[in-house]
Amino acid sequence: MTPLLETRSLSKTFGGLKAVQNVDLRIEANRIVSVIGPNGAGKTTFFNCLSGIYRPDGGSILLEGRDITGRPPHQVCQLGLSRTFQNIRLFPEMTVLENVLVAQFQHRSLSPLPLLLHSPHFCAQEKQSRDDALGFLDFVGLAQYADTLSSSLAYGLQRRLEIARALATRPRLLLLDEPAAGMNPQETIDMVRLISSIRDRGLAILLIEHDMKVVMTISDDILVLDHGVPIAHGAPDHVRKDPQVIKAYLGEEISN
Amino acid sequence: MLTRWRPYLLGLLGLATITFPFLWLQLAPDFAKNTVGVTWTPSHALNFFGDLSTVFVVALLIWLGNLGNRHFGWGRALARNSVWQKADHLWTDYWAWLIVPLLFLIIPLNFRSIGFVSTSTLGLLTFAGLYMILAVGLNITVGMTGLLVLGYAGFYAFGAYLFALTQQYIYFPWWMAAPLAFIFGGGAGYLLGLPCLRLRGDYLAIVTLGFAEAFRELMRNLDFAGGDKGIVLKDNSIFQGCAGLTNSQVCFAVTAFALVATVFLVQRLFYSPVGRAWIAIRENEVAAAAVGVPVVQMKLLAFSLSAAIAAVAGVIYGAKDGFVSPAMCEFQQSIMVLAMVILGGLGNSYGALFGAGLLYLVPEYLKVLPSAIQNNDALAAIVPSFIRDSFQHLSDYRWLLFGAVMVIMMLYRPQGLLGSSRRKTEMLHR
Repeated sequence: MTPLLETRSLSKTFGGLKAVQNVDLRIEANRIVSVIGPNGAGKTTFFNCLSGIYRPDGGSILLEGRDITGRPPHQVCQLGLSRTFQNIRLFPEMTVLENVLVAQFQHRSLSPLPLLLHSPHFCAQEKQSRDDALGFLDFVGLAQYADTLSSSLAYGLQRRLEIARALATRPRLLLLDEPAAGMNPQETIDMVRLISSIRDRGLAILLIEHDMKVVMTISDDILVLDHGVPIAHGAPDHVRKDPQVIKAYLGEEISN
Repeated sequence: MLTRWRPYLLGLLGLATITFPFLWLQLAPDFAKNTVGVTWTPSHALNFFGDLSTVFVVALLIWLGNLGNRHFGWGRALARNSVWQKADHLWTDYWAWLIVPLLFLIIPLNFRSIGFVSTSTLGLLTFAGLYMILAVGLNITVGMTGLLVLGYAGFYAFGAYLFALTQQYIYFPWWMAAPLAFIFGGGAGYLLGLPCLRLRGDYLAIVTLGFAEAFRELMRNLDFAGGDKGIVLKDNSIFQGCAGLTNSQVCFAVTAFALVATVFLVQRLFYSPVGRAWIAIRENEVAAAAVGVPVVQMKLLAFSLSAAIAAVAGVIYGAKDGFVSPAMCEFQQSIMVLAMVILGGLGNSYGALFGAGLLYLVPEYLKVLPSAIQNNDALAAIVPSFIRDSFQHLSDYRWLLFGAVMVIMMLYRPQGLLGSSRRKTEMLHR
């Protein structure tokens, strides 16, 4: 069976810096895979390559068997891969609802005549979009904030909005870049719950996270990067005991 | 409810305040003495208020209809399966947006006052209308999509020259030229945008600035384009009086129609996935691309549409004056339109209309005010001469004044006079 996402020796360099080197990863449908590693390990670069923001220098990315290497971000998104950002990137001057509405662009017909004349079909679509968007907001628990400006949301809620917006593109694979960063323990627990319920909707999730509790609880599979090189890959229990991982995180002396 | 209608009412009131002095002032140029005489015609003003009241009645009806639809379900009983029902009473807002252009159309063309509006006043209002079209067009790119354009007048001149050059060789009246200018203007915008919209940053500003300057120099130096003297258009291609309307009345009506059509087009796009994509690109380009918005295509669409609208305005200008010259795309013109958009409110068509009306008509008003005071005995007795003279000075130094106003705007109200009402309306549409 073809995996949902497969990378084959994916590499990206910036000048002399090898940010990501020969990463091989397979993600099956309906799994949660985490990417961990110390700061500067190339995790976000890896995400940027997958989502089309960077063009990888080597290797290939296959989404459901289809080569998406080097495609522009909007095409990657249309093919079923959506993401959130480590430094939240919302549309600050738009309301919470509008932020989600934007994400339905690819699912809307844009024939000019119905759009300009407001044909019944167009109006029905518009209404459907709104209802769907409200559905996604309800799912992440933001329905009551639909009319608020997204920039005036609390930090934790902004992260949730980014997830709702990513879900509204109707992806099969969701990339979450540090969804629990900067959250208090209760918010982190809620976020873990949210991530599990996204999986329950039938999506696969690729996760970057620094909070080890989160990673160890929900991951089916963990990929550890250090200086852009994959140093371990496997189930949480396996990765936790891996000497190379301990070395990468804690340094040479202590692990000895 | 009041909050929702406040921008509309504010705009109406503002525009009415700016325009109505022109309707009760009659300009009478005296070429022998090289002065412009101005007479007060209060009876016209009364007619004007009569006309204005009809517009307010229309606005009131729309408002009541909206209210009734919302609270008592009038619309639902009236048309259970119609478009309006499915549109979720979106339509009343769209039509409210059209009130200002309609107002602009109705007043001077209204049967009671049409005879009173002088040719020179109509000329002024037509120019105001042209600037409004340009401002609304530029607002798509600068306000909604967030791309700076510094040479917008280049496309204005492009449309005018396309019209003027073609009609020299074949029968090519304005009504044929306008749709073609829309297509070719859009095409020119597309080609110009193609190389620079793929890049991030303000390359478009430089490229359009260069385009406008290069186009002007080209037209100045081409013999068949008339050089500095420009082109005088043939009579059979420009506006002619018909159906009991004079030349300038036809000209005004066409401008008003073009303005309504432009606002309609832009507003429909704005409240659609396309408009949302434009705003998203302005707010965060990377995030817009990441949620599936084809950023380059949407930018190109916005810019081509802007260019197309400017080209049509150029054709109307040519058909109005019967004369086209390289002065049309001077840098000052582009900056003037940009200032209108910024003053009115970036990203808000309504603000662009307001800004254009304000920046074009106020200086014109200041120009005639001193002589108007002088010609009226009662006013001349009341108003001290130094105040009268200060109006004259204000008019002389209006560019300086614009500069000061723009700086103050940027400091204290960067979102423009009307700002963006999008949020509010989007909220209430649910």
